[in-house]
Amino acid sequence: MVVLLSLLGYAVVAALASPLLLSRGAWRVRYPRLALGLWLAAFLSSLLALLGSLSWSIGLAMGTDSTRSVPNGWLGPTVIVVFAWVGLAVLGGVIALVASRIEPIDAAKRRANQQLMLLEATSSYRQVMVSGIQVNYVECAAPLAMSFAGDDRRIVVTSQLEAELTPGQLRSVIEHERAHLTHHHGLVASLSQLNHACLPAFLGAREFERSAHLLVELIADDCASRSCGVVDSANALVKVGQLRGSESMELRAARLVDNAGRLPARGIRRIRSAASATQFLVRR
Amino acid sequence: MLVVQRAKGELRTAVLRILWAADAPLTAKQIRSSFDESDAVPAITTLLTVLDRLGASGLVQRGPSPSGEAVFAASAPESQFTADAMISALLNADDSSAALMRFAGELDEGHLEILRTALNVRPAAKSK
Repeated sequence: MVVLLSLLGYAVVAALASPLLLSRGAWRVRYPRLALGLWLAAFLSSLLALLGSLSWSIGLAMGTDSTRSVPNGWLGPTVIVVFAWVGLAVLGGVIALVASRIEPIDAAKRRANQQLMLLEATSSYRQVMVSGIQVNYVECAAPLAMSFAGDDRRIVVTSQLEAELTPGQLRSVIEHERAHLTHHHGLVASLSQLNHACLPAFLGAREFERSAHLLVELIADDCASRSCGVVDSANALVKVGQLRGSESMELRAARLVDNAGRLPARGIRRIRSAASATQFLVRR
Repeated sequence: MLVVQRAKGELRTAVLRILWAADAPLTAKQIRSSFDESDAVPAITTLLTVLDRLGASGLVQRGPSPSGEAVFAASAPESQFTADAMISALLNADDSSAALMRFAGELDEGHLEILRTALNVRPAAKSK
């Protein structure tokens, strides 16, 4: 009974405390990988604790001997049996809910894949493999890059983006998209989206989805910066931000330079190099 | 270090282009014979796998020919698709965020505020 209550208590505390602890403060912008890891740990451990409490209660209920008189009375065993039955009913409901919510997410993925295939077939002018991932260049007037997760994972880069960026900047954009694919950010996005779709009124589910959206972008920025250097990565963000009139891209560039500045000696050289090479529109 | 190799999705694109260029549905053998001999010509089994996948995606239709051999045709003509329209459809699909990550994906005002606070940056003045 103590184990059962502890598991339940942990699940409730983790579910309620994670949005309060993990969606506050500037630390998550500095350490996005840690923040996303904590979100996933809180989410998955709550889920495991709930499943564990259900399994435990079923085990206890099956071990209860109804023919034997219980010295501590009838209340404890009755609660365990009722909890086990209610838990099983809730589990069935949750499985049905997840199945119904996962269908639109899958359908959206199929639609996006189909549109990408058509785009590639009508407009691609170059296809290369970059570190094991296919990169397709397509003729298009919009400066864009995108990655598609799944069995058929690939990156699509438009001709306009290739024309606007230097080779180093373009490589950092490809590394950004590659990070989304190699770090399974699509899976994280699907998980957080599905969680929110199943529990739309729950603050933790909403915050998890919102945080995941921001954190995966920051993690991919950091990966690109590590692979290609802060100068090219920040400049690529600034350039695309200017082309698309996006403040968020400029802020993400400023964050990369800010992070580089936190490193002693080597980082200071990198930030000076970055500052001389970029035209940041950061309003301090 | 980046390693550049030959792309593997070329075959799918090549098959769709052959089907769009054809006046009538083609058999797998006819599709295979349409490949330029200077390029690597795919094996018939590889071609059938690609056609199956394109069929599952709804881009290719399969039907029987009078000779009983399966024939394949593109589900819609190439002229129906323009790059800008497809990009626009991809960008405007709210529900595709789990499948498609965009480099210039917009963050909402709440996210911007988090970044501004962390970087000690004032909000950008809105142009009138």
